[in-house]
Amino acid sequence: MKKLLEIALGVVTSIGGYLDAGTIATAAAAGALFGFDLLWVIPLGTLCAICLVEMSGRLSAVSRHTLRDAMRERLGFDFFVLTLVLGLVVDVSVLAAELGGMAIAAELLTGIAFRWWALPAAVLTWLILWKGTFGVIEKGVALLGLVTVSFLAAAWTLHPPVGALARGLVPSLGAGDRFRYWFLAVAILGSLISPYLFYFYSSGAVEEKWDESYLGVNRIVATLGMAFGGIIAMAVLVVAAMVFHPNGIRVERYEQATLLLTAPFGRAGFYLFAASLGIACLGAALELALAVGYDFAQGFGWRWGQNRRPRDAARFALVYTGALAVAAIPIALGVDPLGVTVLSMAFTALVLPFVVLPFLALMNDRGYLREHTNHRLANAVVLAVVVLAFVLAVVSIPLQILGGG
Amino acid sequence: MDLVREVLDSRVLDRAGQPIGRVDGIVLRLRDGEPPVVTDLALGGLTAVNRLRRPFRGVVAWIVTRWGLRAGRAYRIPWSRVHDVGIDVTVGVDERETPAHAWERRIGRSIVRRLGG
Amino acid sequence: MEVRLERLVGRRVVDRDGRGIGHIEEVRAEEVGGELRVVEYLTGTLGARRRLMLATLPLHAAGVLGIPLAGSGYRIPWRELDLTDPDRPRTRCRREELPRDGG
Repeated sequence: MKKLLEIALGVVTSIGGYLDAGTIATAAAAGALFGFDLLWVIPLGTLCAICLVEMSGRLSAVSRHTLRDAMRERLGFDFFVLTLVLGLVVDVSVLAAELGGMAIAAELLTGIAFRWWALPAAVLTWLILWKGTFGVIEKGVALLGLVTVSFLAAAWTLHPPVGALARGLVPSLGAGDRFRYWFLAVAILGSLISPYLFYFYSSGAVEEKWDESYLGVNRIVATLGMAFGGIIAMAVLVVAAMVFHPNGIRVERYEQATLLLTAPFGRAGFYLFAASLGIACLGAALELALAVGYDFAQGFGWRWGQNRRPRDAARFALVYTGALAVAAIPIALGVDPLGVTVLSMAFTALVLPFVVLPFLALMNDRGYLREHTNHRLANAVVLAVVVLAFVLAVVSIPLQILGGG
Repeated sequence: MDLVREVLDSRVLDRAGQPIGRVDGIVLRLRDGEPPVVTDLALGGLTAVNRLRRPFRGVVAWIVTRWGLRAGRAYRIPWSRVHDVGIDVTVGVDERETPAHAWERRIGRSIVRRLGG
Repeated sequence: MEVRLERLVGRRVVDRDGRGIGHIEEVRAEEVGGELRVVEYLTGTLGARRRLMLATLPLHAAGVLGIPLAGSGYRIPWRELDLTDPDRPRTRCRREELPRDGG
């Protein structure tokens, strides 16, 4: 019974916690520019994310170590430091994007420019971490995040043509601006396969004291949670394809994105969008700040844990505080949150092989996982997607920057 | 026992199960005509920093010696005080004796407590 | 004389004639009379079975896909490794005299 409840909660929190600034921004931009053509990227990225999240839970349940613990212990110090630095740069830039999303949500509701909300957004996130427990953070905020199901409702209301949907699920080389097409494909993959997701999930498994008896729970939570989350991400793209694409509207500011829900729902949709954006980004910001703290604390063997008071894990608490302070700076300076978001997603894709390949090697290490190592097919799927994302990122990011997109 | 796989970079727990750092280094004593013997585990300080490649070593070393305790000196635990080598290395040391604890306490008092943590 | 094991890991070892026999990947020890004594040093070309190293990532991609990783190393008994200069370890014997490490 307890395990069933855990499964239910785990799935619900995964759904509520899956959408974030990156997914909303990239899916909306993709739907606006290319209609349904990039729909296929989302199931591909979600499949990869399911594999990686399930792996990180399995690693932690069997070895009682987090992914970061295992990276340090098996990879050698040089490589640990490289992945730590890369992860830090990516995490803080994505954290800036999430704080930006929260700030935009506040601007939508109050009319006060987003840059004035950067510090309050960071402080709110920090206060929840400082005073809350892991359970409150993970479950409470993610339950609130179920408001993002409104995108699913919007897609349903708009009655997208089934034929176009089906064609969108088949990979294509893209028509029109090919560079932008592939850049957005990369950015979507980066938003779905964010390393902080599986580092955070493995830390959560250890915080919740998972053992081998939780392997089944882990499989179900990872699969159903990520899958439903992927469906909501697809709903965002579908709504953007229905609302923006026929009218040639490019999504260049978050304010335009409110049409995603005002078109089907009117005035109520405006508030739903602001709530969805704010809560989804708050959830992601909490996870990202914690992920940075986990990276350092676990990597260097400090005390850590969201269930400890900050003074009992002072270095861990100081690291996530510092990460939030640094991430708030670009938004406070008025840097466009949407631009930060899309670019940080693309850089995530660039960094992925350096994080995922060692992770895969760990998952095939019998010393750590005994008989629970990876199936060759899972290795192949993850490797293929990550290499694809990296190659596309290497090609498309410079072109996108040079093209001023 | 495979020292690299089982000991190096493992997390170290004190006698109460609290984490006090990682095995950043292992000290071997060479002896004439006899096998080298493991004398100590080294934690913290510049031990880990000295494992970095040259360009990064200098910068990180400066940070550690400027902001860390004991001017970057590593903390050594004699091998005789190691109780168990498993998923973690457990040692017969009280966390309160260690520089890691002193560092946590210093940050806890100077910054965290002032922020209400 | 003290030697730091973490500085030995990854060091290239040459034999008596200056020929390379791999990088130190593992140090095997055993408890004897309350002491933990080094028994042998294991070298390899890949770090595959013991430690991943940055330069060997493409080979690990192959390993992850189930393509058998080639290469094995040597097992150097403690008395055969000269650590007078720990940055340049060398064996006291020729590599043909060393047992191979099959993993």
